[in-house]
Amino acid sequence: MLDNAERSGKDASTGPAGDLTSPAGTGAPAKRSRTSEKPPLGSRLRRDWQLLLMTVPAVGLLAVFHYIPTLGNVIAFQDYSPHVGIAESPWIGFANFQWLLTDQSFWDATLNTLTITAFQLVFYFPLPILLAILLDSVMNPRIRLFVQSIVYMPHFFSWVLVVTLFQQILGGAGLISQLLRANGYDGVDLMTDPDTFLLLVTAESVWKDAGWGTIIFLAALAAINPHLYEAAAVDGAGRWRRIWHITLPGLRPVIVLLLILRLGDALNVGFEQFFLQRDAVGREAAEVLDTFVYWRTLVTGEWSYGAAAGLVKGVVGLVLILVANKVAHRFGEQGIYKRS
Amino acid sequence: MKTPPEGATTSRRGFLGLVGLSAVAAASGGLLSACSTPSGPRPGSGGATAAALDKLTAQVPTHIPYAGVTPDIPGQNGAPGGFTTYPSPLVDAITAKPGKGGHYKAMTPLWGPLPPPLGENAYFDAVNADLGATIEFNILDGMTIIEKMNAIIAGGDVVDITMIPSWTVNQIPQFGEAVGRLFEDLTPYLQGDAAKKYPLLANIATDAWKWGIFNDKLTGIPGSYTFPMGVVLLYRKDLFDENGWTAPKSADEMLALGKEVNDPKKKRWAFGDIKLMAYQIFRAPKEWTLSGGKLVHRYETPEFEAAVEFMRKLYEGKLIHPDIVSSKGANGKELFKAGQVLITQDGFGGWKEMLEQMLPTKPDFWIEALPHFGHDGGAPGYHKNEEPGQYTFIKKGLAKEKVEEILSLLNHLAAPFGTQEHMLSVYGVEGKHYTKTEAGAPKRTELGLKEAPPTYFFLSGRPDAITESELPRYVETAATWYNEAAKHWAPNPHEGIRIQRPAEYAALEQPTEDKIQDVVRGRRPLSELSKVVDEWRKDGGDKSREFYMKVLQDNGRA
Repeated sequence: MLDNAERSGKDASTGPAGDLTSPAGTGAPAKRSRTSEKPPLGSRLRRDWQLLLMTVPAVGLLAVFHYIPTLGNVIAFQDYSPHVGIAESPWIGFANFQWLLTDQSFWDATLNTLTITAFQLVFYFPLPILLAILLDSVMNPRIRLFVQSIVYMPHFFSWVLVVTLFQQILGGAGLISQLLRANGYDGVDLMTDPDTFLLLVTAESVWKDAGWGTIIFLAALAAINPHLYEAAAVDGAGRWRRIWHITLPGLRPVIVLLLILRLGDALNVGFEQFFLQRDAVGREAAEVLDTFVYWRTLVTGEWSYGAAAGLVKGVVGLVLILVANKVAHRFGEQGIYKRS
Repeated sequence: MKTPPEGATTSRRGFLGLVGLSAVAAASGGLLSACSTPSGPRPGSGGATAAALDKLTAQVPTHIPYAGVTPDIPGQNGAPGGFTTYPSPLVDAITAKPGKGGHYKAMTPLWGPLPPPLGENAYFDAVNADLGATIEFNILDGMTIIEKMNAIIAGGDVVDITMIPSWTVNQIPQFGEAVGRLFEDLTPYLQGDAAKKYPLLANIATDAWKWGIFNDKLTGIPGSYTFPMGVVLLYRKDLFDENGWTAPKSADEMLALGKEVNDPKKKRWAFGDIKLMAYQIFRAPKEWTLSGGKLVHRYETPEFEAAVEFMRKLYEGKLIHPDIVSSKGANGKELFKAGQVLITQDGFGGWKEMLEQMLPTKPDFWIEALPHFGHDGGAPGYHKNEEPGQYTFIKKGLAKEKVEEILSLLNHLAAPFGTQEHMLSVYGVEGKHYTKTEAGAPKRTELGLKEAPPTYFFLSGRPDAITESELPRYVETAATWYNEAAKHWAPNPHEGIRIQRPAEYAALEQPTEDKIQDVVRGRRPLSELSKVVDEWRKDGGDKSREFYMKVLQDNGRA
């Protein structure tokens, strides 16, 4: 739970590469679907057994750390007590969901999560793209490396550190406040104001991860054929025209891919950042679904209730991914997967 | 014990209808909680039991008083006594080595920095050598102990010796079910005269032992029960004297004082978070109060509302240190020690702890507990912790010899003040972890402060007192203060009844406190407090009231 942020970060960086290659890859599935008649299972096994063998470790890992734990979600339909176990706990159908969906604090958390996602989609998501284009245009490799190192660095700070840093600068007893007071003004406390919390968390996220987010875009930029730029320049295209007609179209598949992944993660805005600041601005501003589940399971021991909330979150996330993927296909993009 | 809640199952159609309804209601502005509340109780209930202590006599050890040392300032009304001089020479209470060379893992919480682990810690080595066995500590951060313990208890992953504070036990839903599954029943080892093998454990008061009985089985070894005050209000007496401020005698005076002393420009704020003490100044009940034959929860009393209103004023006036307002892990102690906060709320133990830490480098530093006052200038209503502060449990399924060895170790660690065993297990090695003052009292060295925080001390219980005779002024003030405090306990209709809380009642506490916090901090208007309380009633408060009422009726009190 604690490394949610890291996990989503990892999803974003390693996921696409793996997923990108599979539909377009030259593997057996694509070929097979083109032949009208499949060979019988036995002969396919004989033919592909080495390939299947190679997937065993990965499948094993997935099974142990993903699929088997996922089965634990059945407790959402039980009045589960860890002390009697899943087998003995009584089944209560949808009662937990019924309570959940009439629980104002669940809806508060959902609303907060969606607000934060929507806000960050507009004010955070484009920043790494801009930053990457900017970095890409720096010609001096030494300066570029220097800037890159600096903007990458905050990614490796823990949230505790980031929040403390912001606290020491923006807090009521922080640098800015004390400076204001020393000059006869009132101090400001940006860390405890629920109204500006959205800006605060976005600022923190940008500071921490915008630099790191440029990596994928920089890779995509490097893949754009430099001849295109040369040709365009020869034809008299200015800087903006080149960005608009070459750079952005070149980045489009990656942007769409990350956007879809982000949408699937819409209900996942990270845990630590909000956990740490929840008391400062209150539940009504800072409770997101992840912290809701945490408080309702680990703190109060309502395991079934928390599982129900987690399940709802998962289902909504799945639907969002499917919809976003469909939309991407409509626009002629590859998306994250495509049925062959 | 667990019955499927009635009306809990719904048809799929009903469910989908509900989803639709919810979506509409959510869209139309969150009228949800009012219009579509499911009928029937919320899942996750049950597990509550109650037993009057005076009936639990069979399982507890026969009391064997240990003729120890008597305090210079005797405790009155159940308050701890105080030692202004150090007993000398120290008694060697146990001559034989208690351990047989076993290696046990122990889990204790700690409110402070972690000591170096076993292998790099001379204090652990010294105490283990004295015990004749190795105890390896796995120390939990006290600030998040509820989350950790909930996960550990639910996962069933306990170590050989586990200490859990009693307030944590009370917040773990269905602890009653867990305890028999995870922890050894110690009744056969300690019942009646069997405890003679462990004379220092048998020295622990019988009433404290009774609290260690879960589901009619003696499972928990009671820890410290000498200090029934949960938290106290501490203030920077040194700074008050220096500036000529006087301690407040009522809520109004406190507010006025706060405004006077608050000076953000000088990085000085009047208060830390003092909510728990505000409740007691306003004489809100600890949990329930009996009024006109009806049980009223503290949330429902006008006293509670007045205390919330008072706290709200402190936040509104920006009289509370911004770091405490904004950060989850803000270290109130550090801010208080640095003089950035003038009045704070801390455990009674925090008082001497901070003196011990600060005096070596800052001899003028002085803190005291505020003199007693109620909001109207009358008496406060302190929340007495009847229960021992903690329980120590032994893992279920250990071999008999191992359980006996652990009990011998805990017996050894139960040695009271004035014994060599106590000195070593609390302070460490003389000359290394502490030096002796002229009066013969121990004074921790830097290494002692680093390596020897409360660890072994937390594993067992013992009759205790205010024993920091190296600070006679502290002992005198604190003992006098406590004797006075013990006159002001708030009445508690359930006194003397051991209650394992209903699960839904335990689970409700945190979410409700969160909502109250919103009101206290001015994020929701004061008028919404009644709405918060209504939600509490609906989510299980009313159902718990029935249970608590029945407990009173069963015991002939209502």
